[in-house]
Amino acid sequence: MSHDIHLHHITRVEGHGNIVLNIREGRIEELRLEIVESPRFFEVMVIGRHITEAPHITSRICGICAISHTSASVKACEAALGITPSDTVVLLRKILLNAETLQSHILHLYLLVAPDFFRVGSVIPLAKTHPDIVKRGLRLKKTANEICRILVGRHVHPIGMTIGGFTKMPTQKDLQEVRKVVEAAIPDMEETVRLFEGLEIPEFNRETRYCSLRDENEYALYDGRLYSKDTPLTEVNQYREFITEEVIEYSTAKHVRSGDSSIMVGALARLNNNHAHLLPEAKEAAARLGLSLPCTNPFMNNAAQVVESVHCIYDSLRLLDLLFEKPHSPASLGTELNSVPPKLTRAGLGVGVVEAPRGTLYHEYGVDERGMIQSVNCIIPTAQNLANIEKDIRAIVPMILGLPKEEIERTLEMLTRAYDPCISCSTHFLEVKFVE
Amino acid sequence: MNKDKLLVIGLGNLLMGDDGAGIHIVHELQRRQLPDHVDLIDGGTAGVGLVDILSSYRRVIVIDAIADNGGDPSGIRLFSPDDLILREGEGDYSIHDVELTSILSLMKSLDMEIPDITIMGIPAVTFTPGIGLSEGCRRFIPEGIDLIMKMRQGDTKNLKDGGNSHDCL
Repeated sequence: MSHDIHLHHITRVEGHGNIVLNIREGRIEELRLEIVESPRFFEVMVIGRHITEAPHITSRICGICAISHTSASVKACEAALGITPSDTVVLLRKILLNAETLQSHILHLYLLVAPDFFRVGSVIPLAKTHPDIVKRGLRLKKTANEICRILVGRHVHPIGMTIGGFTKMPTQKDLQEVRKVVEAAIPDMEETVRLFEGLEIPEFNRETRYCSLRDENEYALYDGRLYSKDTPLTEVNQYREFITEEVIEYSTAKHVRSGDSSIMVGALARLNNNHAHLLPEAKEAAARLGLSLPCTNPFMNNAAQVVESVHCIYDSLRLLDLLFEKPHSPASLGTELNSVPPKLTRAGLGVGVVEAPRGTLYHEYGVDERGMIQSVNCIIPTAQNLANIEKDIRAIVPMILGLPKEEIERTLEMLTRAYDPCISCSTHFLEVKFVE
Repeated sequence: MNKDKLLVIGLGNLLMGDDGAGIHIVHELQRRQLPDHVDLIDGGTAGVGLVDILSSYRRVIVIDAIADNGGDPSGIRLFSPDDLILREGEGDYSIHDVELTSILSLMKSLDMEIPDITIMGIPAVTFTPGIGLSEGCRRFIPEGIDLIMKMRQGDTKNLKDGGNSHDCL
């Protein structure tokens, strides 16, 4: 059997890209995951700017991951400048990361994955046949928008997050409002678990290296050390020993490896590494979804996103409780910080790492004694998954060659989509076309 | 819910050159005194988040960059979303990056109330990575600000007709 398959502009992922797959007599002759949009030279834009500008510039890289980019950026700046944020600030940042993880997963699940589930082409026909489902997704998205609006002043591109803290710390009343918003989302979240209990998951398993942050005390999204079960725990400022980037001729995005292996980052990788720290409600959701951990089926990343969404809701309530209990000092609730720039009196190199919805996000800045940025390195999650997606395709194609062409196409698209690639951050991604 | 208010929202990516024209105008407007009944939002690349924002208003002005396919930018264009869909079909020009038309299609499919939207298209020259506007685009920013400031209260039709009224917001 011979196919020249060009999955050209795979649909329903964030951005544009191609899969080129040539099969001759049941063997793969050629396989490439191409990134076709020119890379956005965000790193270059930050060089030569004052360090206080970096979080605001990088918050504009992506409308979906704006909190993550800003968080990684402020952490990198703080590391470079030797600034330690208060516990209160860290708790608030964790709530914001939970909100962004929730909204990103929900958008992917309801607007991009659910159409596969109901075998329709996009969310538009789904909205006509199942409006209640789409409206539920939008309500949950609104939950996250509201949390961001209350805590950092905007639905997107958080203006209030800054080096050292927030331009204006939220008041107790703000936090009570956040709590109401989060609690109101619980019934919709329960319905979401119910909906995806019946998710069609192809049987496909391939073990790879699952990489994420790991924290000894909690499910790591904001902080921790770099972990995979095959490598020693690595401090974030030593990240170049944990992963390496390599330029690929056919792709404008670099590929990433850890040691001798391609890697997977994102919801499933985090669950595989850190499921012991999931809250009980999330563990229950995993059981209902048939997600037995560790799991080597990349299609289950969608189920993992549902589980993390549940975790983020209940973890936000837990964090709010801690905020209400905390005795507040210097950067306390309700304080006007007036965006006072921190003391920028030293040159340094700072690394900031967070778990963005799609996986580990790295920002590294080198600054001179005037606080001017001299070097930047930014590694996004999707770039880390690209080599692994190629390997998955290479492994699954022999298993599905006997299927009709449309089913091969659909399976490869679903596989790519399961990784929830956000090529917009680096490039753009996919429309499907067979070339024979 | 802000049904009695007028929303002025800029869309685009500040890191993609002229694509951020709408955001530049919103930032300029933030420095001015606007009446209480006007909400000003830097929408950035809000994407699906626009559903929530747009459904909260009855009257909306969307400021976004438009890409002319060929020729010199001829000036700010004012149109409705229906015009935009039609003209996109004709290959004339399109909203870049944020897919407003997709958002409106989704809202229509869900039988959601769609506000009266006027799109102010700022002619853009470059949509390439970079912070700041091209000279060709920047010259339209003062006019865009004037058009917004000259609008009568809640009267978006006035804006569509060319913004010639001297009544202020």
